[in-house]
Amino acid sequence: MLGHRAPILTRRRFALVFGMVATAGILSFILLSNSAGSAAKANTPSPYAAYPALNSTEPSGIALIAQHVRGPGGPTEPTFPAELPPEPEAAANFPIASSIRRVTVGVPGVSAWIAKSTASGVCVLVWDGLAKDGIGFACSPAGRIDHGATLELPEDPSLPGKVLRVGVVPSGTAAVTTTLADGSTESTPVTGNAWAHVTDANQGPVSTTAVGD
Amino acid sequence: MRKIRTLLVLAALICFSAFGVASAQAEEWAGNGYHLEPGQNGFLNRKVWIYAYDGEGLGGVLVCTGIRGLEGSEICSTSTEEIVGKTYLAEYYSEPYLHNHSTKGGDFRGWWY
Repeated sequence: MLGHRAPILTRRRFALVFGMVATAGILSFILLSNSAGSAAKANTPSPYAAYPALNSTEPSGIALIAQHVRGPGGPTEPTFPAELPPEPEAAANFPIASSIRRVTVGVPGVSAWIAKSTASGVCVLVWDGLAKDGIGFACSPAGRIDHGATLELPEDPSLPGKVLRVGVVPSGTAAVTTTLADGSTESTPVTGNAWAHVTDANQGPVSTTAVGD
Repeated sequence: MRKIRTLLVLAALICFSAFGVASAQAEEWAGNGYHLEPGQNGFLNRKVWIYAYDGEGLGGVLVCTGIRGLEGSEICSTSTEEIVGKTYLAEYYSEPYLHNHSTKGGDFRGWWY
């Protein structure tokens, strides 16, 4: 009888050891795969690396709100919806509220921000400082993070008779050249991924071109 | 019996008004070949409570969008396929519009919410 039981125990022990080794092997494979994946991810530069302004830790100064006030009633500070638009198509390319960071544009009274977009692009947001006014934004075409984004405010009450253009561009862009209606050009330096240009409305800015370092 | 009927009517009214508000929360009002000639404006043609709007020019045209009658609401794109929009704290009872900012005709998309 004993002689008959010993091989069974041996077989069980072998199965147990084999199972443990196999489990350890599978676990090691999974862990190694994950760490290799993480290492690969760590080595892949973020598409937003060209926008260090997005890493700012300065408070944005924008109040994210869930409710809107029906009827005229101006905010005393800039506000932006905390949630994406309820219309999915509109939400497909929209500033991501949690990523909004302040940038400096050097136009008195005008505040500007940069944000990631839901379409893997980048957005610029602009507020003219007037209590009743809202925040305008422009987002790059879907996936075109290299494109930057520019917003034009052609009739802003804070700048009567002027056209304001505010934009964000990737690092490596030293200046932005604006071509006016008469063919002349004006150069605007880029600071911290952002720039702004003000011109007379009758000069009608025609186009804007980014200029590298 | 009359009380129950009144309560049912009230409940139905509340439901309808709730759905009315919900359905008025967002809308793509321009799309599917919404065409504007250079310099032309396109309006929603009805008033809604609106706190935000955005627009997009398709196929190489520049868009401006705004709220009719609201000073300073107009914003424009400076390159094609950019989306531009504006959000307010307040809701305004008006209509959004799109404007063809290009020297050629083109199609546009517009949303309000």
